Amino acid sequence: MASAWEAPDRLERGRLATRRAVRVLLKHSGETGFPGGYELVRKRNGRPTLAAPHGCPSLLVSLTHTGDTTFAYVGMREAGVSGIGIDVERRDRDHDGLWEGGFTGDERRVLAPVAREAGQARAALSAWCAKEAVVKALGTGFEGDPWATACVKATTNIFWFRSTDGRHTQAYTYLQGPWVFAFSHVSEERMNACRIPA
Amino acid sequence: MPAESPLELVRAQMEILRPGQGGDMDVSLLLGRDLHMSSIELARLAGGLRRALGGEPLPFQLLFAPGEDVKDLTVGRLVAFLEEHVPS
Repeated sequence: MASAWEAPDRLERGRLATRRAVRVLLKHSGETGFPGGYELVRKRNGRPTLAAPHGCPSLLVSLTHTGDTTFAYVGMREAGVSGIGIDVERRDRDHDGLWEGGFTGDERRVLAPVAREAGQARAALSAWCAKEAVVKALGTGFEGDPWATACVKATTNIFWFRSTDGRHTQAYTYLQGPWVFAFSHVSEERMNACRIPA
Repeated sequence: MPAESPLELVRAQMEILRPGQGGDMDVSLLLGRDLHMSSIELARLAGGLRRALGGEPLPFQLLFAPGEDVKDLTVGRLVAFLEEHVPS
């Protein structure tokens, strides 16, 4: 469940967006729980987590900030799921240079069919959002290096990445209004299912 | 190496990304901590530098060499990288 909130302070925006997403998720899943009782905290590596109130379901959270807008993505912590990731960017902003600078030559070759079909700007932005969502779901972040997580397979809306430890993870993207959304879930089962042969 | 020095190139590309901020950018500033650059801005900066240098691929991944715990970059490190990897 994703939710957006606009407010001047990033941390407060994150809390508000998370609370709203938790409320909708609990309602839709039929779970009982007090959305205000979930506390958004950050681990030492910066990854956000949700501390659940006693007796309430355990949830996963991922946040993304773009301009003055924050999006929170919240999901149930199911068996085997270790992380979720979201990234959102505006399509109507200038992303000049992203195709050349965000991807290695090998990645651009993988993305070339998508660029031919959807246009280079959209291919670059969708793939970039997918890459961000994947490193958030893995819990690693880019650790400074956006080129270490490589796109190895792509369709217009689904992207597969190989991280430095050899794991393969996929992310889905879609367009809504001025936004590109990307989501990724990481679980042992999913990683096995989307493993790509060398 | 083009007529502009690497520092001038980086400043010019920063000015394109963030008008008004590139001109007097100091080499000691950290791109993440001090300039609050997001990862997509870092990628666009790399793309702008590559384009300004004629489109030749640059091994930006070497900025984060394995074994080095680099999670942020100073402007000076980026400038030194260009001095090392752009043919004169």
